[in-house]
Amino acid sequence: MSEEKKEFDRGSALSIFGSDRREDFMALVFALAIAFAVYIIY
Amino acid sequence: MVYTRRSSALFIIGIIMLLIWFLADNGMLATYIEHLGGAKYKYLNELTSIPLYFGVVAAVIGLWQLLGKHSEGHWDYYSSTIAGGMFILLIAMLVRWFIAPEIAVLGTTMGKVGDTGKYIHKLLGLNYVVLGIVTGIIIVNVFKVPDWAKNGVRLSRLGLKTGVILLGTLYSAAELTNLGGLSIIMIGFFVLGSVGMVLWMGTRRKIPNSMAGVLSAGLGVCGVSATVAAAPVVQAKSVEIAYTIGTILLWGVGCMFVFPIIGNLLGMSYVQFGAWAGTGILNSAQVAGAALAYQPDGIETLKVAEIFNITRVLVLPIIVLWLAIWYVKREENVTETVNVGQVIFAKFPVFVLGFILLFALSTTGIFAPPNHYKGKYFANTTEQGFKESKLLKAEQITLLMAEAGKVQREDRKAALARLIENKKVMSIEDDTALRGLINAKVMSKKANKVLKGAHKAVRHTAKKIKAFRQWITWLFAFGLVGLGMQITIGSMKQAGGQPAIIGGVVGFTKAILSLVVVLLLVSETV
Repeated sequence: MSEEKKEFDRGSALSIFGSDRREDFMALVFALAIAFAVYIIY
Repeated sequence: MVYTRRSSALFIIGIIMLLIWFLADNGMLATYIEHLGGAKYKYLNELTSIPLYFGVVAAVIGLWQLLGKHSEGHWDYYSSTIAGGMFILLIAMLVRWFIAPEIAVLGTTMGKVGDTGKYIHKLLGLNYVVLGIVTGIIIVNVFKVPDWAKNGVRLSRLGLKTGVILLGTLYSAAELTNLGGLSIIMIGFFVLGSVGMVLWMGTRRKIPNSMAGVLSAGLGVCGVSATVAAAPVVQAKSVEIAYTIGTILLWGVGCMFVFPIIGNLLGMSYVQFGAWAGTGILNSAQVAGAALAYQPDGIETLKVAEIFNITRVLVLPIIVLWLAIWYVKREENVTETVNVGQVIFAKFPVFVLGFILLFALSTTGIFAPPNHYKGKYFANTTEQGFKESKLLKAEQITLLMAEAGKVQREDRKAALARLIENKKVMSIEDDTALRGLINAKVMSKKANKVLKGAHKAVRHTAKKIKAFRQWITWLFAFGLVGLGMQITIGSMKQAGGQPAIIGGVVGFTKAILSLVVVLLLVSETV
């Protein structure tokens, strides 16, 4: 655990985000951006 | 801390991608593609587009990372993930386009296995999904993830979550109602059953209440997220959380590889397998892995499995509440009070709400014409899209007639009879019944191919929906290769002692019981 902390001083060993909530929101932002791109392009 | 490594790796990855595109686009891979299956090779369109887009991005950013100045900050932190992200993507590309087809060629030359009637690679599910995860596991445990890629590997869960949210665009209201009802019954029974069983076994085996509480959430609900959500209400210690996560990973990774093999041996339909994986596998990521491993070139199994998984996540608040009450009753000296409502609000996975949002957007018809899910071309007039050339041929009709006796269900029998009589599918109800017949795998492969052709003649997938499917496939491929890179022997070694025994007993019971229930009760179509 301490090794992981040294390696990344932000986020966790499993995610670049500090919390699951932030990761969920970013996933939502990406999904909406992709949906918008698909809506415009196709 | 400056995260961006001054390395040529990302630039080289970009050049490799561009080289793949160049060779494919100029026909220089034609001989090799012929060896991989020729006309049956499905990825030529992807080869001539995807590596170009990502190759340009990787090469440009790679040059900047190699030659530019980097200083500490948000931009440095987030842009440093691109190298690892592209590394995962390149592995996913190589596995999907070349390694998996090569293994399929090898498996086919070895012939079918005994009485199973299946080739070894099909039986073991050695497709791009499984091979991608295995490649990830090998890289992290044998070679180690390179320093410049370490930060990007942590993007894999983001990829999986984005994929799940986008999956919301692919369900029709009818599908969600059918599957939702089924999943609520099954998940309700199995989640509550496994939480209760862990708590009961925990008491019998005299493990601390905090350990039993956190283990029950992990094994009962949705793995790692549930473990983290339940930890504060049962005041679990770090070592207990680590034990639980280790147990879930060990069991989940095993299931991810074993479930598709059992599914293949039993000849399960997509709906049956999706329902089983979504109920029996402990962790969300491994549910997606098993579903895609079972059906790598289609999305039906994943759709079913994810509905079950999302239903399971939605049960999380109830479990947290149950555990909070259970823990307070059993621990007389609870000094620290926990606000359960606050824990539920803080830990509830928002990406599930994103899935519902995208589903709601999709039902407005903005991504597909209103009649997309209703189907077209059922009428027999040219104005409504009828084409003589789309009718079934005489030899196809003969084949269907020869196999009609195999069909048992009345609605499917009737739909098949109408198809034979009219040489085309006549209504949305018949189409649904015939798709159920295909998924049930009652008829031969040849007959199923004819049925699929008849379905395609009346149902056309909208371009936007096709694009979504491709995005979802790649997001899951990306997420699962990255997931493989996070499965270290060390993390699984954390499992041990009583939690591993309880986890094994509960996991095994849940997998077997849910398999029996699915085989007995589930037969609907997606």
